[in-house]
Amino acid sequence: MIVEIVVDDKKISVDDSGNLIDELKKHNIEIPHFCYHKALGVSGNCRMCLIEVVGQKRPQIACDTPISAGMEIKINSELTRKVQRLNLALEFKNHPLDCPICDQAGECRLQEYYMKFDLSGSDVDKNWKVDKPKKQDFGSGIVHDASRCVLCRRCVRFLQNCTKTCELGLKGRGEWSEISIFGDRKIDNDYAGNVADLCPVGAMTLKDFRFKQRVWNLDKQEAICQKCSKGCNIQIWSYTDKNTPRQIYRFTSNGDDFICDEGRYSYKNEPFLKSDIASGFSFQGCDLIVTSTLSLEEMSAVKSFASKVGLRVFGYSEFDDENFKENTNLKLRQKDKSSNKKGLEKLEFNQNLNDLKDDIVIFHLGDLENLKTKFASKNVKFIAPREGADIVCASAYHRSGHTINCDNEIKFSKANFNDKTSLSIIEILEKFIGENLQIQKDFKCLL
Amino acid sequence: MKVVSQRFDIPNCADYSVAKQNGAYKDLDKILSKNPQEIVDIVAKSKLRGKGGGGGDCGAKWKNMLAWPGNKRYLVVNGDESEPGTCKDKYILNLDPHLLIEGIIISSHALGAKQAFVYIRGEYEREFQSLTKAINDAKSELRGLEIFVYKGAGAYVCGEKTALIESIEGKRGHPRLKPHSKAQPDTIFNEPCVVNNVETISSVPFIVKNGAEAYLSLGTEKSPGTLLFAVSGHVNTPCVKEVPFGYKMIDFINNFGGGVWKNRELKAVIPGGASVPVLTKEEVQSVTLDYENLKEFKSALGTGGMIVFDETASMPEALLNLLEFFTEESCGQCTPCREGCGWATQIVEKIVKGEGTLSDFDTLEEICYMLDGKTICLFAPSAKDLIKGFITKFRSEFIALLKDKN
Repeated sequence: MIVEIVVDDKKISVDDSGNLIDELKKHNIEIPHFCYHKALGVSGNCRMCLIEVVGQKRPQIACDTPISAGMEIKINSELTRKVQRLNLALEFKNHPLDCPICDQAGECRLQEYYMKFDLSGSDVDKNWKVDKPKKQDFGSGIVHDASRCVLCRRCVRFLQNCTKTCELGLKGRGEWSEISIFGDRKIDNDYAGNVADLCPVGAMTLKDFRFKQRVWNLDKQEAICQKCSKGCNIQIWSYTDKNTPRQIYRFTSNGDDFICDEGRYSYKNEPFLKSDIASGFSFQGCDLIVTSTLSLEEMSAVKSFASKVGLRVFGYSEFDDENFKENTNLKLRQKDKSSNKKGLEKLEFNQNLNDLKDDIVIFHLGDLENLKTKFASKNVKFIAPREGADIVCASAYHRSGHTINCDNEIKFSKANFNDKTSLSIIEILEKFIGENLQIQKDFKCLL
Repeated sequence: MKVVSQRFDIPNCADYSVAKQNGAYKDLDKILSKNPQEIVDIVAKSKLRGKGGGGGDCGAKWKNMLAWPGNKRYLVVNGDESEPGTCKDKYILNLDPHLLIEGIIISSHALGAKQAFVYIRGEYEREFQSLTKAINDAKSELRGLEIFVYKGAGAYVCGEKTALIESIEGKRGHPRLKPHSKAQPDTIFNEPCVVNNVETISSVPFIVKNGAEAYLSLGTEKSPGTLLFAVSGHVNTPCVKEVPFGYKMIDFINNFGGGVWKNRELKAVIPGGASVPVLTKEEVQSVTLDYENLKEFKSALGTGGMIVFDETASMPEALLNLLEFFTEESCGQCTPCREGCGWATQIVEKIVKGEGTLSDFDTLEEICYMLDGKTICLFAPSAKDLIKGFITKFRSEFIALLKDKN
C-alpha cells in the first residue's frame, strides 16, 4: 500500500510493504549501510543506517524500521549526523590504512561515507589495531583480507541463503571475529565471484582483478551478459586511451543482482578487434545463417538485408551445453549458451537447414570452433568478432542491442562506446548495401 | 520465610528420596489438576519479578506468550550464570535441583509446554551432572514432560535470552533483533516460548503452594518476594543468602558478609553483577536491596551479586579488569560494541599505565554515547553503565594517573 511519510520535512510516497532503505533509494535518497541487501534480507548488525525517527527515544536502524503512514524521519539532523560520524569512527578503529594498495579504492563504502559524513582525523595508534591475517586464498578466485572486514556478513549470508553451499562462517568472537572457511573446504560453486561484488569494502576481492587497474580509470557501461539465455545484468569496465585500444578489465554484477562466474570471466574472450572488410568479400550466391547470439536489431537487419538483395536467410540455435550441471540453489545459469534463442523463434527464422546451398555466410557473435565442425561440409564464411573471421565485426559487448531471455523478458544491453574499434553487423550490412536498413524497433509485440 | 533456599542446609537434598521426604513434589497431582490459566493467574497476582537481572514481571511475560498463536509452546530456563559476582543459581542446581524440576513441571503445565529446555553454562560441569541425575531420578514425577539440559560453551553473551535461544537451536550465540511489536514473544524453533531464570522458575512451587498473598507478604510493595543475594570481594565471609527485598545493603554486607575484611574501610560496591553503575560508600549506607530504591540511586539491582571494594582497591584497575571481560565476551555482531569495548579497554589501559591525557575522557564519552542504545542487545549499554559509573563517581582517581593533569 502506498503511504505518505515525511523525510526532512518533505512529504514523499512509499510502499509500506517494502524496506525503508530501498524505498528511499527510489527517491534518490541514500541512507548509508553495509549489511542490508535486497536479496539477502535484514541483518541489522552494522548499525550504519541509524536515523532519527521523530517520536522514538533512540535512533532506529532504517533497514528494520517498519514503514507506517505519517511517520517522520530526519536523515540530515544533528543526531543522525552524530551517530553516522561516530559509527564510522568505530569502523575505522581497527581498519588498516590500506587504501594505497586496496583494490576496492574508488568503489569502497568506507571511503564514500567518510567523505560524506566524517572527514575527521584519527587518534587511534596503529599498534592498537587488532591484527588479523591478510591475503587468504578462499578458493574460486576469492582473496580475503580479514583486517579490512567490517563483519557485515553479506558473504556468509549469500552462501547460506542464496547458493545454499555454506562455505563461509564466522570464527572467533568479539573484535577477534573473522570470516573463515571451514578447515580447508574452500569456496567451490559457480557463483563465487558475487562474494567480491557484495563486499562493501576490500575484504573480499578477486584474484583476477588484483592490482590490475584503478577503478576510477575505468569506464563503466551497463550491459547484458551474453554467455547463456538468462541474460543477467552486468557492468562492463573497460579502459582506453590515445595509445591503447579499448580493453575490458572485468565484468561485475550491477550490485543488486547476481551473475555466475562463467559469465563474469567471459570478458577475457571478448577482445575489441578492428573491423576489416576484405575487398574480395561477396554475399552473392550464399545462404545466410543467423545464430541465436545476435541481438533482435541485428537479426532484423540481416532479414531486411537478405530480402533487399534476394538471398535466403535461416536461423541456427543449437547451443545447449551437454555437460551442464547446476549444483547450487541459485539456479541462474542455463543449459542454452546463446543469449537470444527466443528472439530467433519470435522473429520466425526458418531453422530447417536440410537444403542449404554449399556457400553460406554465418553471422555469429561467439567462438567459431563448433560451427566449423558442424558445417565442415560447406563453404563457410564467418562474420564474427574473432580473429580469423572473414569479416571481424563488433562483439555483443561492443554495441547496444535487445535480446529475449529464457524467461521471456526483453533485455537491453546499453553498452555504447564512442570509440568505434569495430563495426557492428548492422553497420557492415549497411556499408554493403549502401543505404540504411529497415530495423524493427519495437519488440514488445513479440512477447 | 524461605522461598527457594528452604532445603539448602539439609544434607544430601539433591538426592531424590531425601528431597521427597522434605516436601519436594508434595501435592503435585492436586496442582497439576488445576486449570493452567489458574496457575498463570496466581503467578501474575504474586507480581513475581524475573531474577535473571532484568526484574521484569514474570506473569505478564507468560500471559503475553499465551496470547500469541502457535502450535507448540516451550519453556526455556536460563542457567547461563556468567555475570561477574553472581553465583546463586549454582546453589539451586547443586543443593536443591528437585525444587527447579518441580518449578519446571508446574510452569510447563501453566504454559502448555510439553518440552522444556534448561541451558547451563559450559563451565558448570558439576551442576550439569547434578541436574541431569536429578531429572533421571525424578522421571516418575514428570508425567510425560520432556526436560532437555543443554550446556553452553563459555560465552557470557549466551545469557542474553535471544542469544541463548540461538545457541539451543544450534547456531552461534548472536542476539536477535527485537521484534517490532511488544506483543510478540520470544520464539524457539519458530514456536512461542518464555525464557526465565533458574531462580524465577524455582520460586513458582512456593507461590503456587502457599498462594500469591504469602509471596506478597515478603519484600516491599513494588519488589515482592525474596532473592538469593550474593556478596563477594573484599569481605570476610563471601556467601549467598536468601533475604526479602528491602533489606539494607550495609546490613547484608555486615551481617552475612562479615563486614569488610582485614579491618579495612569500605570504598565502593557494585550492587548487581558487573553491568550496573557502581555505588560509593556514602550511597551504600542508605540504599536498600530492591529494584526501585537502586533506581533512585541511578543504579540497578541486576542479579543482586554485590562486589565489595575496600579502601586499597584501585578503581581504574578495577574498571580495566571488568572492561577486559566485556571486550572478551562481546559477540561481535554490532559495530559499536565490538569495536567500542576494545577501544575503551585500550584507553583505560593507557590511563592505568600513566600515559593518559584529558582528551581520552572525551573519546570515552563518545564511545559511551554509541554504546548506549545503538546496538542490538543490552550488552553494550551495560558496558556503558560500567564505564560511566566508574568515571563519574571516582573521577579523581583517574585524573591522578594522567600524564598531564591540566
